Amino acid sequence: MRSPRAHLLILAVLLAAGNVAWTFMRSGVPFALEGTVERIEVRREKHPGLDDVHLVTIGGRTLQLDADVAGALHEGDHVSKQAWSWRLSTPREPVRLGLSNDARGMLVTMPLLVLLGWMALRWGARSSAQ
Amino acid sequence: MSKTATLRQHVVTVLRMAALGGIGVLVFVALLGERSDYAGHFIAGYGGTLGLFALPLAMLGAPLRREPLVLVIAAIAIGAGLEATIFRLAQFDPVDFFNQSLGAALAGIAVLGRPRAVLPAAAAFVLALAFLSLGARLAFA
Repeated sequence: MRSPRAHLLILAVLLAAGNVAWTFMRSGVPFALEGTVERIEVRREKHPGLDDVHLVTIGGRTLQLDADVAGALHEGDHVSKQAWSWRLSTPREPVRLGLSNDARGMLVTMPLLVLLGWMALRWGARSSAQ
Repeated sequence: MSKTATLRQHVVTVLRMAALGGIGVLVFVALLGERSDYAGHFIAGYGGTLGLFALPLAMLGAPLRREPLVLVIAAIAIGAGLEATIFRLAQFDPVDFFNQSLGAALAGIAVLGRPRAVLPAAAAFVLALAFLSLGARLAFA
């Protein structure tokens, strides 16, 4: 069995990766989409206008998307895109998908926090060995 | 081990607990400042988990080895339950869950291998209250 140090660090890496993955998925880039926008729902969170949850139902499938992407769509639009494409076709001009500020922030913040944990583990090993 | 060396060990534990949470929340504020709720969930998860460590730190015994991982997993489960129930506003937010759980994991790292004593136990309790309060302010400010 590996040490608790390794387990805690692996746990931190998985949680950090989950954060990066989830904020990236909200861009819509990983998904293949084909169908009609059936419903666009905005649910308010703690800070209305800043952390709202945008749920978009396309072809019977509900996704949480970034505000910019959801804001470019209208109910009744026929949209399509291939998985991992950065362009979403709509009846109007295509929507260019991109990383939100959240996703960009997570890309830097999460590795730094894992690095902080790793340094603390190394420092802890050294100071407890003294 | 001399009294001075023992006291130094406990002071190091207190500094680790304060520094990991403090630096972590500063990183969030610096890089994701407009989403103060992210920093709030992180530091609340960190503080809540430190609070769980106050009791085992106060008990007699060998330095904390296996306990941190067990308590971190318990803290993550408690956090998931809270996020799914009383703190569920728009929906269960995976980002909030990841942030608070990452805080819990770093709290486990802060105390892992540290010797037990009243001083770090009391500090864990006080820091837990301070970080939970800061978390609430950041999350709901």
